[in-house]
Amino acid sequence: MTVKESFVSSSKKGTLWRRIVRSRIAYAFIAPAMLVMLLVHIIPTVQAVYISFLNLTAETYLDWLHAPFVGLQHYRQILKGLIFGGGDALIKGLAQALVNSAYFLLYVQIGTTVLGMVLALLLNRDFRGRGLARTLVLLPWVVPTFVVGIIFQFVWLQRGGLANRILVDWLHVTDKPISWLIGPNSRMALIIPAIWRGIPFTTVQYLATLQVIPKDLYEAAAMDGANAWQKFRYIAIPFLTPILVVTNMFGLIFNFFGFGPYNIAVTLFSSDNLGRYNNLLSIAIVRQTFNNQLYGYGAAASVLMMLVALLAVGIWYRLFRSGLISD
Amino acid sequence: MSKPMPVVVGPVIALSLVFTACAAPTPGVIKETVEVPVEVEKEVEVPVEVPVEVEVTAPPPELTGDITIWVMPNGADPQAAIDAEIAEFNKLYPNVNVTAEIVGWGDAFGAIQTAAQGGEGPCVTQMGTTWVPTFGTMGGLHTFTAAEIEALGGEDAFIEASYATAKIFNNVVAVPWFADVRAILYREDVFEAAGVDTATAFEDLDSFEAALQAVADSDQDIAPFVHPGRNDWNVWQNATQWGWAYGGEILNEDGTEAAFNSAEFVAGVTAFDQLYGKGLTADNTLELNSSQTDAEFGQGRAASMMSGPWMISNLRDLEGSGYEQMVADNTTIAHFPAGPNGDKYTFFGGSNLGIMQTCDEYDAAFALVKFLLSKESQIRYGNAIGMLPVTFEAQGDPIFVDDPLFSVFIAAAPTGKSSPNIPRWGAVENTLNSALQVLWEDVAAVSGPIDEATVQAALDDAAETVNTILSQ
Repeated sequence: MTVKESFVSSSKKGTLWRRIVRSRIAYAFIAPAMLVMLLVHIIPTVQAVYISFLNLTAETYLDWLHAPFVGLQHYRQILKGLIFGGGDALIKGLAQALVNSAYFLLYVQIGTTVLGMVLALLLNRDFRGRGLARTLVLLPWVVPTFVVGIIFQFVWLQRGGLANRILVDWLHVTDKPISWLIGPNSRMALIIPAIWRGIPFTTVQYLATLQVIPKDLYEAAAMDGANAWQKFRYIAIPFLTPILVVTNMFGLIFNFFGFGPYNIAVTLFSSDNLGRYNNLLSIAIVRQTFNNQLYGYGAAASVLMMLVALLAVGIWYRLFRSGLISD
Repeated sequence: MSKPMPVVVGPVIALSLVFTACAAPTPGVIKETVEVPVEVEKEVEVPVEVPVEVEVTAPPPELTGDITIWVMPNGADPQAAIDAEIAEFNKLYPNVNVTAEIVGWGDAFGAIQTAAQGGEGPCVTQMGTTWVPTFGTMGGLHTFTAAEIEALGGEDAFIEASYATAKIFNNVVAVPWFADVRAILYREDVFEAAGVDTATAFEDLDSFEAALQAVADSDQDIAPFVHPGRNDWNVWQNATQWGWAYGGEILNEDGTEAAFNSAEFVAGVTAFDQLYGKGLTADNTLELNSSQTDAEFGQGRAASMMSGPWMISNLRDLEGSGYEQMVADNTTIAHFPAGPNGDKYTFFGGSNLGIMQTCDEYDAAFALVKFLLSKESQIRYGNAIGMLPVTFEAQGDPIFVDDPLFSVFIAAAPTGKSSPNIPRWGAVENTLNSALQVLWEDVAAVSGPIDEATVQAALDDAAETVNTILSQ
């Protein structure tokens, strides 16, 4: 080794340490957050991954991490059922939940994006009472998801519910009250509250973006004879693209993998057994894990869900990476 | 530019594993059983009227300590009801500081599960009778010794069906606290106006259905029957009463295989599920939960329902419940009707009390449990929350046996049946509930009564899942 090579090698070894020392104040500032992340995110995640390799059930619950090690058995069981169908009876609920979650995600994403955009465009205009309107739009956001379920239970009640009062008594759309809380309509009975709860988030994001678009761009477009649609398409959309990408990614995580829908559903339907239309993925995993006391099996399903979420976010990021950078 | 992330991630993961390993409790460590000295016998005078005053002739042993009890939302005012008991307990044990925390039914199972695992928890906890096998199997609960059972009055002091819910593997892990027996509540005036002889109408399920049909045909603008459908927490309890009446069982005798897909059980569930299609129930019955069902009956929109003793306080406190005076004046209670072979059963549930192994103040916790099982506390608390006492002594009090409504529930208790006491009951219950809830969706989807083949297919499917779970 030459003197030069030796110098380069030793300097490389010291690079990270020197960088840490040089940025020690910055590291000191992020240390508490890192510690909290370690405690509340990383340790439980590592623990969940480990539990997914254990036969942790009601009988072995107190053994906790010393429960019998079964390796990849739970993963094999789940993947075999999902990929080849049939198989273990335990998997049936998960396969159905996967399809229901896809439906739920599609409707809620379209609903929150389209309605959030419409509201943002309306609230971006000058009109009397705009401040009050903006505040009112935020209201669903401050309602806890459990309470959203209770509120909408009163909306959907077959007898005396607000929805049937409007449809039957006021609009006379139908003579017979519609059953919302059971049967095929119950799918919409969960999707609509989820959209209602999600709209403020998208509205605020889109409105904030619309407000930073320079007015002279619209003025120049008007002078060139652009109509409203052309202004929206060629001025607003390029500015909105990064935030559309981000809000939809959050929506994917929250509505497909998250527990927000679970919180709404259990109070809306007074049960966590939600039948064939609303048995979502997160709900099915909670039931398998805690109601069936198959903790190892549930942990494996959760880890698989986490990996799918990471994959989905990765693909999403690859597809829309350019859109995240605003000029 | 170099990327330091992997360098950081390695130690973080390693540290996580260390923390994870440290978090694991030592397996198989069981807290040493504490022998509790038998307390000085006390004379208790129980007046007929509640509230009951306790007259203590000899002071009990001096106890100190801070303990917490978790109770679920029992009765209309759960906090007041348990605080009243704690106040009475503190007259006996002034140096024991008891904190009562109300834990919602939805959260309680998970919270007790965490506490059993060594997490933050109470010394004493209420739990639904059907939860006892699960928590007993997990091992976080203290096992009551024979001497302790004797100190609580002995096995013979308890109603048999209640005491049966206390055990798993012959260990008593959660002693009965209060009981819930189901019966049929009906409007005497509506059935009589329909020309029904109420003395015989509730003898068996055929006569019951004929009576409902008579009410439906009588054009009285009231639904003959209302019951909770899919969106409820009593799904299997309701359907199983029909299954039992028809001679079916939930599991086989040794609890190793599903039996709820037997011809008898399926016939029973089909008979129940067909009431909606036959037009004998309220139009909205399939979407209602138990509370909403109670309200439908209480507000005069249904002529009969299945419910429990809590309805008595609702019918007597019209201001609090919002029920109609006409309903209160005309409600009568009948035992659950017999099945085709004369089998007569009703669901028997309620709640038990367990002491967590992590409790540091065991003597005080046991003293509290013992107090809550005393005759005076059983009567007072049962009245406050609208549930039945679990001891013969308290159930035999004139407050209950001379009451025209309570007495029917007490008389029905011997026909009470509960869930099988097996470690995996929670999983069986969950699977059975799921199948029955999907069946309610099928009931809603078809015009006319649902056919038996659909019920059979749904329960066969659930039986396969249950058998998989039980075989693991």
